[in-house]
Amino acid sequence: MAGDIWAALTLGAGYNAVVVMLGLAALGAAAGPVGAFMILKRRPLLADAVAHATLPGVALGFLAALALTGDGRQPAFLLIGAAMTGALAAGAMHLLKDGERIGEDAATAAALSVAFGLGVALLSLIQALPTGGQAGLNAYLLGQAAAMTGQEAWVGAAVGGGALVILTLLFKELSQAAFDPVQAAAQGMPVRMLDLVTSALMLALVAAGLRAVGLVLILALLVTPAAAARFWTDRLPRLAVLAAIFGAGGAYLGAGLSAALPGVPTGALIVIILSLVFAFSLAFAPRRGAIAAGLRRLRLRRLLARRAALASIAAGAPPGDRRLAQRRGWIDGAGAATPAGLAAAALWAREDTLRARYLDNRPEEAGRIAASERPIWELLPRDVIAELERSGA
Amino acid sequence: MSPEIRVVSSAAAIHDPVDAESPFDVSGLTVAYNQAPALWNIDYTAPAGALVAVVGPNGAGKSTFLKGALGLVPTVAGRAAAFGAPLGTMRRRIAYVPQRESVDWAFPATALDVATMGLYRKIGWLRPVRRRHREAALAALAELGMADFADRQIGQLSGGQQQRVFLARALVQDADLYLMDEPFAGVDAATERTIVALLRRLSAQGKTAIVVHHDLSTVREYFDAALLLNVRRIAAGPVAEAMTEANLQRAYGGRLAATQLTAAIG
Repeated sequence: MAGDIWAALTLGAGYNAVVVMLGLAALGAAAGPVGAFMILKRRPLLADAVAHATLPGVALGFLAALALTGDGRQPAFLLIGAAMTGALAAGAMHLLKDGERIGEDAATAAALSVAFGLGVALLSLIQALPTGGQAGLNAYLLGQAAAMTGQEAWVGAAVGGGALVILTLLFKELSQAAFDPVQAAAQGMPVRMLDLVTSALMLALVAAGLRAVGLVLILALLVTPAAAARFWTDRLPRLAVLAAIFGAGGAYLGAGLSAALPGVPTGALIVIILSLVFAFSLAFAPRRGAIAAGLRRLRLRRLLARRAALASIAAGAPPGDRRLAQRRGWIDGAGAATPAGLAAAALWAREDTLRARYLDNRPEEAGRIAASERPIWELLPRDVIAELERSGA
Repeated sequence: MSPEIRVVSSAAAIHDPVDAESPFDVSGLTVAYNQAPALWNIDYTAPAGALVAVVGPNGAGKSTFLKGALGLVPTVAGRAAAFGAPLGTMRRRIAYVPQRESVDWAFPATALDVATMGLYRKIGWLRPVRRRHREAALAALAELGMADFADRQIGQLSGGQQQRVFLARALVQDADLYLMDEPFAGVDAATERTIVALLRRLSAQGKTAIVVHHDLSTVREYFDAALLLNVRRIAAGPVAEAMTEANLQRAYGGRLAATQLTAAIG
């Protein structure tokens, strides 16, 4: 089986599987940055509601195809149906929210549950039909990449690629409107249109990815890559690129694994892979990751302990943390200050005075100056230090 | 308000020709968010090159006045003009500085990124941000004493520094009319001095600034003119004429302490 997985991941799983994997990778690459914008606008759940709202569309598409062609399982009908009810739900949420009678979260919850309930009811109805054959529709819930045809995969690749092109062309305007829509509108930026573009891209990605990833889990493809990328950077362009890479990688690996493990829904595999990426980022990202934050706290605690010990020595008192002072050679075995300890304490006293003087005038710098392990004369220009030395005289 | 004045102002909304001289001319501006109007039939014409304080109690509609004029909130009635043309056609000459609390400062952007956003409109669709644009934004940051913080993520800045980033974003637009919403709110003394110096510099260049301001005691020192609001227009004109005790009482009612009143009228 390991051989199968390896074969799948290295594009050796047959033409159809390869096309599906590449198509999903393109979808994932676009879903990452689109999800980043959804998160920055604080409405990631809009995507979830739209995804759930595609279900009645899928069912209606099936019924329409059944009536017109005699076979319900026509991907084009199902896709168009999904996009239509998804768009309807998005429009309903915009109207409910703009009415200002209920909040955006309540509007989202209402649209999601109503549409999904309707979809489940329609599916049960279809199942009861003599020509039922609902098996094909189950893939839309949890996703089954293997069930995708090459043609559907090409559609996915085209949607993903097109979304990436639009994102790149409008990136500057989209980021301004995401950060400060009111100021952007004051400058004459068509903020509502840009909002619509983001929603339309999201809807297109959801509709195109539905069959492979499943409507229950497609939210993960949109949101998790961006959430993971946020740990690695403070700049939106890098965030978008990183989210695209995570999204593409997660979708590619998920589709590859599901080709080798046909019993497992693709959506679930993609979610597992992306969750691992997220967990890794949460733990190991430099600066923003949990381990880095823990180390930073530990360093600060040690810094405070060292300064407290030196303050005691400077005041002629025994340091509270004797082990630390002894390890540093600041006090001898009897607890008396050594020459090195006295020198370090004198240096600390000078630094502490300068620090206090500087922060009296620049209180907003307290975080940078007070918590630095480097002495203040390495943090500030020489003339500022000279000025501080003089100001006490 | 006496009935005669109301008749005059609603007539002005319909018949007055656009004041070609004024950089900022609003008439009949009325905004209602819910049932009660937030702003009722406001006429105001700003003198060119003036620093104007928009003053009034909480909930008086000061921010709404700027947003309504800019078309950022739906208006019930009224029109706004800038430089003798409908304001909507003059956006390139107008810079708006929203309240600092209106954005999410955890946004993944640096001070320089935000200042550069002031140029996006001028750069235009489909065109990339070039080095000269970033240099212009950096110069605007430097003018506000923020050059050292250009590469810092905006959430890592103090409130005063964030306000300066907003002002740099407006400054880089090289506008002729500046609309600022509470730029002095919650900033440190150094930032307050920087903003005052910036306003004076803009005024000396013949530019006009309409500034929502909450500190009555500094209106006289910082501004040339004042517009006193409390849903309706209470008074407008040179600071000394508009900020009389009677007008302030009408705007604030009993909410103004005697000490604030003395500070305001000097």
